This record gives sequence, structure tokens and C-alpha cells, in this order.
Amino acid sequence: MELVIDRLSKHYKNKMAVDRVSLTLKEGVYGLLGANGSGKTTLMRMICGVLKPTSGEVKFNGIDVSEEKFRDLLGYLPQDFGYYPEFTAYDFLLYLSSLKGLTRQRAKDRTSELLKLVGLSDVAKKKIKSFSGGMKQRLGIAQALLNNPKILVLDEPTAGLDPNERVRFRNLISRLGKDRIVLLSTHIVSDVEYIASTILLMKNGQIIHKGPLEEIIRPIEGKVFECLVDCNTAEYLIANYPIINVREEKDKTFLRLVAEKAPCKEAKAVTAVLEDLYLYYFNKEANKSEQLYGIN
Amino acid sequence: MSSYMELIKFEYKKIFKKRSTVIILIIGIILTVISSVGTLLGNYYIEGEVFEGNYEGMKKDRAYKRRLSGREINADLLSEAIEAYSRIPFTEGIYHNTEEYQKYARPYNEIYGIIRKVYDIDNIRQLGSIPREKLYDFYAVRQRVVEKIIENTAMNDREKENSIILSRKVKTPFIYSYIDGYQRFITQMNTTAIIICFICIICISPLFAGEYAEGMDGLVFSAKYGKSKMIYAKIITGITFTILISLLFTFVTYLTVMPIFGWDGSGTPIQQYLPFTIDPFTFGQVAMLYSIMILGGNILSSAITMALSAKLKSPFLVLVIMTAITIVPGFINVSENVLWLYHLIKLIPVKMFNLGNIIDVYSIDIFGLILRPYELIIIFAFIAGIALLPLAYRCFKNHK
Repeated sequence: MELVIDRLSKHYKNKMAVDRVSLTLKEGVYGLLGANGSGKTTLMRMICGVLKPTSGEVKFNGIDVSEEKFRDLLGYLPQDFGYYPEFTAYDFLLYLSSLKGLTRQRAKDRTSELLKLVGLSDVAKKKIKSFSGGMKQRLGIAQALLNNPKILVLDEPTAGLDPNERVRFRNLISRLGKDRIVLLSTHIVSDVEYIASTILLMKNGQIIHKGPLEEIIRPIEGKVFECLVDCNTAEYLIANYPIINVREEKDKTFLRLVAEKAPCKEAKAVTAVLEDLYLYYFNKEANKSEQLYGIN
Repeated sequence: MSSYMELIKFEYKKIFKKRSTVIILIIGIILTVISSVGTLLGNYYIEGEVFEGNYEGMKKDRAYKRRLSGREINADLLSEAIEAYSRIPFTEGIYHNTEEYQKYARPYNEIYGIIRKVYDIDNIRQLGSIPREKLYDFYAVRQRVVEKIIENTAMNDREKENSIILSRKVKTPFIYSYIDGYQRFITQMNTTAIIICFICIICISPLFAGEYAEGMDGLVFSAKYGKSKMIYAKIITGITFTILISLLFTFVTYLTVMPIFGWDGSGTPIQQYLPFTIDPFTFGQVAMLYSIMILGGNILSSAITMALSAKLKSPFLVLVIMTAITIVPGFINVSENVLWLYHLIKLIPVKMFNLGNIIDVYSIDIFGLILRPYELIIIFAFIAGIALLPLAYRCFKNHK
């Protein structure tokens, strides 16, 4: 089982949304991390055949993304997916089952099974327009699983879910990754940290880092510091180091930052986590623009 | 096949689950029923006082006309009508309001209508100037007028010859019959056609574009049949929906008009109502042909709607464009002297709803093939409609 993405690019008029991305994905959960506008959604839409790439190709076991056979193996949860407001959850899943080529009986069985899995059995006959954001998201996850896909692409699957639901889905996705390729994008770094076997860091349309958690955070290991400093020192540190976290306390300021060596005598090295790496890379951009606009 | 049926079922569900669809269908049916019997509402007034209710008047006319039914339209009947009309005294007002008209002439008012057209008279005072022998010559006079109309058109010789030959096939003599039911049905079908057209446009415009508007494009395009069977299912749904709505509204019109006005006259020649029609059709045949032509026009309109819906991402924009395509041609009139343009403009869906396409004297020479306007329209509607469907398919499949 192998999903090959070969020099995949998408150009818009003045923008390179995805720039020659090449990846080979096998069974497992892949977490795609990146700031807004980094090209995650465009990449996922191309992998799902929803968007035609400017160049490059996507193949699963030799089957091209444009083929019906490819879509037969695919489950996709778009970022902002819609629904037919007058449909019930049950009808919605039956409809998508028929779109996915399931027989009528299989569609009924899968629909009931998945509604139970996502905790929507009680409201199966209710119109989707009466659903909360979280319920709609759960329904979206259910539809992605209807055809028992070999490739599961989930764009922000836990958005809108409460913490309990999030943990449940994290576990579910983790289980699904055992015998299929799961590619998920999210802004919630901890979700990726817990379940992704491989992390893909995307910036400006390119994959800038790729690997398991331990490997990916290696560049900042031993470089993450925490300190409680006075106002003047805090100002100096904020101006000179990539800041991961700032918290004002009584008469001091708590900082978590990245530096080659301890930036002040109060600084203590702490274990780096994925969020540090994410904020380190993506805060650089934010810090740059803040400086540009004179915020600092 | 079962997967197609399943997908078509859901496309219908999408249409009928919308409250707007149900509302528009109810409004459409109410409008059709009201406009079908609208002429019967209200009263006829003489000198400010109610003379009779319109419904009562219709029943009275029906009884008069049924009394004449079965009689041959010949010199005797024409003379009877002229004699009855001669009893109407001179009046500066409307002669319909005189007692003599109501008592003697009213039963013959349809015969008078035929005399007026065939003998080209302007008012009842000229009736007496028609020589008796010309009344005996009624069918020859009618045929001469028909051929003169044909000769005066801008048609080429082949077209004129075809129209004349066709007009000579009309069987005579005509046997008079009560025909108000069919007459009302044919007249009403023009309004019904426009109602059908708008219902189809409103319900079909979201067929493809609605997937974008509702944010479903990502889900449907990534599904196995999202770029193949689903598109066919949508096209089949659009066409069958149009056929079903056309049949429904045609039957609603028929079943509203005919029981009230009367079922008589299906075998009566259309010439009793429109004396210069050149086709040897009966009212039943014209009603059927007109319904088929309206169906063709609506199928073409729906095919254009589907192509636009597949191309554009907004059902509202499709609705706006289709409304313009339906309404604007109503304001365009082309001179019959520029025949190619005159015929061309009739290929716009809303222009196909005109009864004139059946009763016109024109023949159309298309590279040696001579067709009547309704034949061209029906053939064009179905061919163009079918030709647009692959375009809708490609537009949606390749939409980015």
C-alpha cells in the first residue's frame, strides 16, 4: 500500500499554493501541520482529485487520482464541508453511500454502524440543519468512513469538537491508521503529537520537515528555555529570540523561548514538544510581520 | 442500473425536500387553475347592471352552440347567421347589449366570426353586402383567401408551393361543433407553458451549482461516482423532472378546463376557430401537438438551465440568466419580411410556446428539406436539448 505524490504543484495567478511536493505515504497516520495559507488544504484537495494540479501526479498503488478506482479507495473530510440542510443524518449517509457505490443493504448497515460510532444514532432521523457544529463534524467523519477507505484524508477533523469528543476521535483515527493511510491536517498540535506516526510540516507550499515526532523536534531539542524575568529583560528577550509563550505574572514575566544557549541566568532548559517547533517556525513569520507593523 | 436509480432517487429528494419547491408547485397549480377558469369569474354588465354571470353566460353559449352542433357549415347556416344578425337594430353602443342580439344573433356568434374572417368584413352592417352566391362558394372563397395570404408572404416558391398543397388537403365541408373547451385549453396552455418553464428553471438551477452553494463539491467530487454516474443521474433527473412537471401542469389545465367548458370538439377541424390554418388538423390533434411543442420548449429551457448550472457556481446567477432568457424574448418582435430571423427567433424556448407556430401559413426550406414551423421547433428543441447535455456533463466534471 503506497500513496505516491510526485512533484505536485498548484499555481494560481500570482501565487504558488503548492510547490513541487513529493511524498510517499504508507500505512499510518500522517499529521500535516502548517499555518493558514501554507497550502495544506490545496494539497489535500489535489490528493483527493477535487482540485486539478498544475503539474505533478498522485497515485495509489499505480492507480491515478483521476480514476474512479482511486476514488473508490478514498475517504475525504473537507475543511468546510457542506450538507443538505433538509436531509436527515440517516439520508445524508445513505446518499453518500450510493455516491460511493455501496449496495443498498450495505449502505444501510454501514450507515447505522457509523452513526453509532460517532454517537449520532439518537438523532439519525433529525434534519442536519438542527445539528450543532460538533454534530455536523461527527457526521462528516462518519461519511468519510462509509466505504472503509484505504486512504483517509481529514482536513481539520477535530475542529468544532469538544475536548471529550476530540479525544475519542483522536483514538479512533489512531486505530484507523493501522491498516490504511490517514492524512490529517489540524491546527491543534496536540492531536498530531498524540496520534501521528509521521509529521509533515508545511510552509509556503512546501514540506519543510517530515518525520516522526522525535526526529522532527530534534532541531530544537535542548534549545527550549523557560524563565521568569523582570520587565526590562523580558522586553530584551522578546526582541531578540523566537518566543513560544509569554505570561504576565505579578511583577515578572514568564517566557518560553527558543535559543541556542541559555539567554539569561534565570533560563532553564526544558523538554521540547511539537508545539514549540510549530510556534518556532510559524511565529518567525508572525514576529516578522509584527516588527514590520511596529507592534513590538 | 440500481445505483443509477438510487442516485436519481436522491436527486429528486434534494429537489422535493426543499420547502421552496413545494411552495412554488402549489403556487403554480393555483395560478394554472385560476387562469384556466379566470374568464368565468365576474359578471357581464349592461348599462351598469349585471346582465349575467360569466359562468352563466358560458353555459348559455354552450347550450346555443350545442344546438347547432352536427350541422354542416354551408350557405344555409351562414344565411341563418346573417339573417339573425340583420335583426340587430342600429346602435351607437355595443351591439351585444341589444335585446335582439341576445335573442336572435347570440347563438350564431361563432358563425359570424367565421363569416367576418372569410369574407373580410369589418362590422355587422356589411353582412348584407355579401352576395348569396358567395355564401354557396364559402369553401372556395376561404381557400382563395388562404392562398392569397400565402402568396403575400416573403416565402420562396418552394415554400409557398408546400403551404398551398398542404392547405388544399384540409377536408371540407366543416361540421359545426361546440369547441369552447378545446379553444380555452389551447389558449390557456400558453400561460401554463410559462408557468412550467419558471418552475423548472427555479427547481433545476441548483441541480449542479447547488453542490457548490451548499459546500458539497468536495464530498461529491471525491466520491466514487461523483464525476460519472452522479452527473448522469442529475441530467436524467433534470429531464424527467421537466417531463413530469410538463405533464402534470398540462393535465391540471386540461382537467380544470374541460369538465367546466365541455369535452366536445376533439374531432372538429381547427379551421372552425382559425379558418386560415393550412394544416388539416382537428382540435384534438392541435391540443396534442401544442402540448408536445411546449414540452420540447421546456426540455430545451431545462437543458440550458442545466448547462449553466454546471458551468456557474451560483444557482442564483443561473436563475437570473434564465429569467432574462425567458422574459426578454417576449419583448422582441421580428418582421415577417425578414423570414430567416423570424423563424430563428422562434427557436428560443419561450417563443416555442406560441400557438402561431402551428397555425402560421409558413413552410421553411432548409437546404431542400421543407418543414412546417412546429416541425422545425420540435426537432430543434429535442436535438439542441440533447446536444446541451454532454456540455453540462463536461462542465461539471471539469469544474475546478
